[in-house]
Amino acid sequence: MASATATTTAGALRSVRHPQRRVDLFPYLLCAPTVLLILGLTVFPAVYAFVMSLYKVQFIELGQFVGSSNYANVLTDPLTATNLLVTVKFVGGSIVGFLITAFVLAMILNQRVAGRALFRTAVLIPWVTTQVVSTLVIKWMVDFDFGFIDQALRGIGLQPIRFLSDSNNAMLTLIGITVWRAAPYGMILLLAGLQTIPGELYEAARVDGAGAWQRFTRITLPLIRSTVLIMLVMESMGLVSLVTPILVLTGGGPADATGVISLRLFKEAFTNFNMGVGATVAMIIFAVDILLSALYIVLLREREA
Amino acid sequence: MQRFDPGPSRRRFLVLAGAAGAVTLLSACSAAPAATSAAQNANAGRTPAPAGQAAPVGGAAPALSKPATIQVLTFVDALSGSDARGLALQQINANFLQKYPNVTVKFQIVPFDQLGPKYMTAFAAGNAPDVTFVRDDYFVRINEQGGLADLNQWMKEWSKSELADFYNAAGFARGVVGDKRYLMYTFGSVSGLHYRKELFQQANVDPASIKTWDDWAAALTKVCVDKGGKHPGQAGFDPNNVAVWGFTEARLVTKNDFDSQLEAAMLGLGQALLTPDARSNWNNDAGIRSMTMWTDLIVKHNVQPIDDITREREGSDQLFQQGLSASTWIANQRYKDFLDKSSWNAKDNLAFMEWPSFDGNKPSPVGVGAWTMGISSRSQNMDAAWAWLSHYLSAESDAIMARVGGVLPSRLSTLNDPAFNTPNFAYFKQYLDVAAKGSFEPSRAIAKVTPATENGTAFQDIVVNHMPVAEAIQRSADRFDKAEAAA
Repeated sequence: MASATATTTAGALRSVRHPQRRVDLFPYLLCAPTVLLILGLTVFPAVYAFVMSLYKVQFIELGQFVGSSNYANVLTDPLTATNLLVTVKFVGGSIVGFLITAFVLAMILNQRVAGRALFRTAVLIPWVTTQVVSTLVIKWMVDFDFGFIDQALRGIGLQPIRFLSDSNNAMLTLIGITVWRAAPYGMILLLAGLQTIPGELYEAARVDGAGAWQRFTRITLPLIRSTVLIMLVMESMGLVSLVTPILVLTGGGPADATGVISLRLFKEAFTNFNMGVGATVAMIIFAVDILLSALYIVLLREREA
Repeated sequence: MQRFDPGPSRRRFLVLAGAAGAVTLLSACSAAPAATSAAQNANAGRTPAPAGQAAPVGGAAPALSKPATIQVLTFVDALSGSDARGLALQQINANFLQKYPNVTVKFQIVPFDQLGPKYMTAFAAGNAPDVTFVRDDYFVRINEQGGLADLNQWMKEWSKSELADFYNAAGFARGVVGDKRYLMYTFGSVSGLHYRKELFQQANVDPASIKTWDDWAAALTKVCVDKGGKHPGQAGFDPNNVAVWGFTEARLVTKNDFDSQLEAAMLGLGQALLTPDARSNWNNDAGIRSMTMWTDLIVKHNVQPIDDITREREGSDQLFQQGLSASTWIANQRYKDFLDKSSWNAKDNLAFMEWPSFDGNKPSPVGVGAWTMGISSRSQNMDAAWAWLSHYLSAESDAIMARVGGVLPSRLSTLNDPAFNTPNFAYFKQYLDVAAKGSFEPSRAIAKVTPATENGTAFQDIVVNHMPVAEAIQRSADRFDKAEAAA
């Protein structure tokens, strides 16, 4: 007994002086399928896309190695500059609309108002509707000649609106649809953030004489800054890659007014079947996403500092 | 006490994981073998007819002893039969299943513009459907991929009379490369101007008097009217409140047939849209005049809605069916659907007219084409696939597609069948009579990149941005040539 105790104690002492460095493989094995799936669906395609951008690709088979030739062609093409400028307009406008709408919805739902549950459900409907279906329905609604919105406007004596054939209106319509679909998601994130703010802070601020705007700017905004930054970056990255509503609604028209860079990728890769050029455009989009991520990291570090 | 060994050290584990990842990355960087030639793949995919199997004679199907499942890729909705052609294909397939109860046919239905990409992707992935419709502008790419089997392995047994029964020379020539045939056409297509008789009569316009494009624009100006009863050009005409447009046609960049319409006008001046080596041929006087004519319908004459640039085929069809436009461009296979779905009396008033031309001496040619089908060179059920295709090509099926589907028969014997010599099918002869005066097969079939995208972009640049026609033409031609060279 004494020797067993001594052995156990000695063993424990050895563990303290020499912590065990062996790794238990079992948890890693459990995680491995998911990790492999993620690697296979994200990292491998990204790497292969980069490889394709260095080749002349015949459908999906690598042909002749062309090095940076695809990049030179794409970056010197005037259409690329147009696509990037349109993308900035689209993403910028959508982000502003997204933030404001999500905030308003979150602030409403953060109050104890009658019908809150019903309102929350109704607001979520655009988010859960299939993108193609909702965009097609809206497209038919806004058709200038037979869409019901313009028919209604004519019916009450107003001038109909060219939603899609006017360059500015087409972009605004696209932004409107994007905000309508994305705002519910932002609302949920913001609502979660708002509900973590202690009510005592607002009470204390009221006692000190702070008005609603001051409470919003001095309490609410600073405390949900991280949430807002995450939303901004995630949504921006999603918008840069967005294709479906643009393809369905305007096809990039009128006259490239809504021709974003992601649509250019679609056109090169799946209309012209120039996969090498399409992959090159994908790399440009990837670079833009990296910039956005870097911006987030810088802003977050500023906050932490 | 035996100690349990939990495994390798952390360092060792990370080294192994990193090595696995590096191997994965290196495999991505290795160059894949260059695309094999069409000839090599065609030879590899072709299987000779099994010994003892009866050769097909005159479209007669081979006997199949083993159960088989075949996939058929189509844009025609054979599952729900939502349109006339879908109903016809349902009936044709039902007849096939009665003859071959041990064959299962599964349809993959995709939108028309996805036919090519869907097939090419599936073929590259190794699971191409056995039988497929092939769009004219995708044949070159699919053939380069080696995606189709040589149908002559079966059709070489066909009699000369059987082959001659397929009267559409352009369709019959499609898919033939050297002594190999990769495609066979199913139903024919004649595309052109369709209009509403009663509106033209109401405006005192005789369609027979329309010989030139200027005549046509003038006629459309008389037919087009706003809700206040004003015509374009008259004081007070309100383009925001038009009751009936003169002409409508899809001009969405990503989905339009503008290339064939531009070519129809250019051919009246003796120029095709593409050169024989698939380079742009519209950056010339013929292209500029033709583009000017088409865009002037919006910019100058105000007889076509500018919102057509936001519409694809279904949108402009909807405008015509609802009676909001007096004319449009239709391919004949939609004729029956228009008869059934228009909100006005299409049975008595839907008519087809010749294209005008610039000089008025002779009509511009109408576009003719054919829907073609082929068999995958890697089909695991070649015999069953050919049995299905040959059944589809049979006289019996052709008659069903014509009678139920309302499309032009692909066989002369069907066309001359007394059952089609009735007022209900008088439009068959009408289309063919117009085509006989002058027709062309759109030259886009020789290119890998569809010219419609750049033609459509030029159209929009002119009507939206007021870009000079010559500049828009130049830009679109340069972009097309660049994309075609890179393809």
